[in-house]
Amino acid sequence: MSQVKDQTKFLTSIDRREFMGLCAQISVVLGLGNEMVPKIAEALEAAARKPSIIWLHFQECTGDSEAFLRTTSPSVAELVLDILSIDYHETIMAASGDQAEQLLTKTMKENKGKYLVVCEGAIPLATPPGPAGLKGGYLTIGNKTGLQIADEVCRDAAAVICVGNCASYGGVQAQRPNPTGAVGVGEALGIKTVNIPACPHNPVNSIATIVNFLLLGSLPPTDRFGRPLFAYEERIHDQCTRRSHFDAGQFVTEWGSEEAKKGFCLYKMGCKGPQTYNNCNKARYNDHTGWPIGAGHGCVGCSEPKFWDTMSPFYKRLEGIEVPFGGVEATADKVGLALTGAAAVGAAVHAAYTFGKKKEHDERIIDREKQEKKEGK
Amino acid sequence: MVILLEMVKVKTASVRVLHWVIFLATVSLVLTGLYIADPFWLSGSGEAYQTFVMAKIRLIHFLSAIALDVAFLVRLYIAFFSLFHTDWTEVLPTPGNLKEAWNSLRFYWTLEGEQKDYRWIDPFDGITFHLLHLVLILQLFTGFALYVSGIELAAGIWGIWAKTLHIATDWTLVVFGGLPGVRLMHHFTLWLVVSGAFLHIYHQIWKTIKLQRADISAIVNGYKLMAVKRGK
Repeated sequence: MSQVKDQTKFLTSIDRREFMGLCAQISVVLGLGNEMVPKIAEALEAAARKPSIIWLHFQECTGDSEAFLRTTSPSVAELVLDILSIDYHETIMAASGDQAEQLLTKTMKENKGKYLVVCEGAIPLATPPGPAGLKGGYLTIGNKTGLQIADEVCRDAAAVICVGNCASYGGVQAQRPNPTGAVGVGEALGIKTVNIPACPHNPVNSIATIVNFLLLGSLPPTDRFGRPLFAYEERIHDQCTRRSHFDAGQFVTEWGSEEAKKGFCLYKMGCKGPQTYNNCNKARYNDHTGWPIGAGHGCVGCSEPKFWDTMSPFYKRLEGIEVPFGGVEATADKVGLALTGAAAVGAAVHAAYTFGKKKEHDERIIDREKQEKKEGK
Repeated sequence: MVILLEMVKVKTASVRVLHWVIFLATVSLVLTGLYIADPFWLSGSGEAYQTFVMAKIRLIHFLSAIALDVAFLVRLYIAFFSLFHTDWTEVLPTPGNLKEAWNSLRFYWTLEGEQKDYRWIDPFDGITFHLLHLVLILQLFTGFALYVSGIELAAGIWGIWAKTLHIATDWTLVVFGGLPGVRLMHHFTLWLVVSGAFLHIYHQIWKTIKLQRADISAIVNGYKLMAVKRGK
């Protein structure tokens, strides 16, 4: 620890205890253990290697930036100024207008091939109607479409990290019918990105991904949706604080009921924990204070691709099935019961018909037998 | 001409036992499956450590699933390598089988013409068994896809099992749109199994009464009646 201390002179504004707290937290999220904490501190402190980060906004609500601002250990000021070098962030940067754009160009030129891009928000690909319609014209910043900006900035980046479900997979904009043709950044540009989905992302996971990049010079291993395995390997359901109530068969059936007060399992209230991969319970939000299920609300599956479509209705166990004729949404049970009912009705009709016809049929057989007897003596 | 009927052996003991294992496992799977989808009936009372209702019902569901799958695989082996009678060709939708199945279906609804006497699986049954087993295979893959999502962090031999299941079932996540889609499909297919089993049972009872060939007894004691043309 002491050797690390000497290298931290530049960290004048940061509380040492807080800083080591963050390092320990990142170490836990990455699954590295205590002995790696000094290494993480070193990696973050090496001023020469302080990574230049460009933070881009596309179709989104800035919720991911908000979550990023809620880190208190260290505070966002320390994070932005001392630990990382966030050179361009439209929401929190001091510069504006032309100055800001110059800064972006300068950063890209100076750190070509070395800077990290953090993307927030989906990129629309559809062309708006009208004579001046550009591809992706539903999002235009300073006469450039989101697609053009993303392409220019991400082309020379060392790595692209998508924070939040929008940047990762399109998010709410990409929900059916998706009028602007919104997709995630990776899909829009056809590049491989590291995705930190959730709504909003958990900054601990995002910073851990950046730290992984600084420590090892490479991005962390990911699952098939580009999510780092250190955070997205396990389901919400399997690390849930209410799991014992699930196994015990103790469920909340009504909001505000006695069961809800006791903290029973939210399975019947439509919790999507069993379908969702994330480390919410381990990392938690707002400086490790809370997470949805801890607050008494079911998981909505916000770290899964297309969760608005596949996970809704959020307060029901299973989604509806689209019946091909009429476009009515029914539950699987209704369709299944109708199918079984149809089978029963079919069988009943068949039985009534065939057994009603019995005599005629049997008589015919007897007739034929008589005929055969005559013909064959 | 006098039609003489004769008892003939059509099903070995192993086939009959496997049939009833599959029957019991299916009943157990449907009941526990409905409970897991919507825990409407039992609920644990007292503190969470005193009761284990959902976990036990899930265990029964998993064990029944394993029993069904193993019985199905053994039955598949017998279909190909039985010393008594190999019947795998009878459940394939070949043009010949389809044509005969269509004739049977027409007979079942119109009673026109005459139903041939089939000693083994008759072509209409063959086609329905084919469909029913495809449905069971779908249940197998979607079920294991849901199952393996709960043992992602398994290590050792258990981890090899998890990896094997991933290799075998990950395609269902792509086809049905992630775990929610797989869950929905698994649940909906339950109803396909229920309605299919219902039609199967009705059909066998109907055949037994209408054709007078003791079809149901084939799956109980292994024998059914066959027409033998003898004498004049």
